[in-house]
Amino acid sequence: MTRIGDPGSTSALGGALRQQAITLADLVADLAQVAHRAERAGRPDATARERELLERTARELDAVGAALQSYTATVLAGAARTRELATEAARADLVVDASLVLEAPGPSRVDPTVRLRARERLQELLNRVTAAEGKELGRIARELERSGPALATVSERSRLGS
Amino acid sequence: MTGFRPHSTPAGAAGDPATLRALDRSRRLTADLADQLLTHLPDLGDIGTQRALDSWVEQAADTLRALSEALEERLIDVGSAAGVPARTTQRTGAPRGTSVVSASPSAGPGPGRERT
Repeated sequence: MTRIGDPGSTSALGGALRQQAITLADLVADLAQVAHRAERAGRPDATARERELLERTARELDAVGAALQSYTATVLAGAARTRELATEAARADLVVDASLVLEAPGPSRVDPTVRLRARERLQELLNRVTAAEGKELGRIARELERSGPALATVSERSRLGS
Repeated sequence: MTGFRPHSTPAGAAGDPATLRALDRSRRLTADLADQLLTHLPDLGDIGTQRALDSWVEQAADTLRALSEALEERLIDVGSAAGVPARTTQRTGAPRGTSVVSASPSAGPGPGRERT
């Protein structure tokens, strides 16, 4: 299980990216509206390339922002679920330590068989929490790996005028 | 910007005040967004993914700056192609909040609805 990090800061970035994507989409709409008016007046479209590049960037910001927000939601839900499991574990003299369910130190009045079954069941439930977070983290990694080069291409095209 | 001008403007597209205003607003906002992006300090808790995210944020900010520069180039091209030399009062990276280019008295930025 990964360290939980700071879901608040991750969520803030995710939200900011999605808001920035909306801002870029609004700019595209403004430029398109002006271009259409110009075309109706017999003037050529001067900003088609810029609109395309803005649109591509907006898509990338939105995709990564969505992945970050989804991850944050999963982490927060996982933390809540882990607290529930820890409470349940305590009733069987068990403790949740990161991604593991362990026997609490010291003697226990709980029947060893009951305790073992509880430990196995709770570990399985905790594994689901861990897997969900790992899945979301993997989604972020894939989005970043895909999106970085796409944005680099936009940068290059913007600077080369292509 | 240098004298190299890769952003050729279609003939006849020059000087439209509404186009100039839209380009000016877009140029300023994309520069602002780049700056805002770099103020975020997300903590994912996973070193590998964190590094990838940090690099991506740098790339995204660079892309927004590149877009701002491209929009500025287009703004200058459209303004100057009209035979009205574009008057640059603020370039990318300069303090924000003022207009950049006015190709004619009516071409300044109108009331914006800038959101950040």
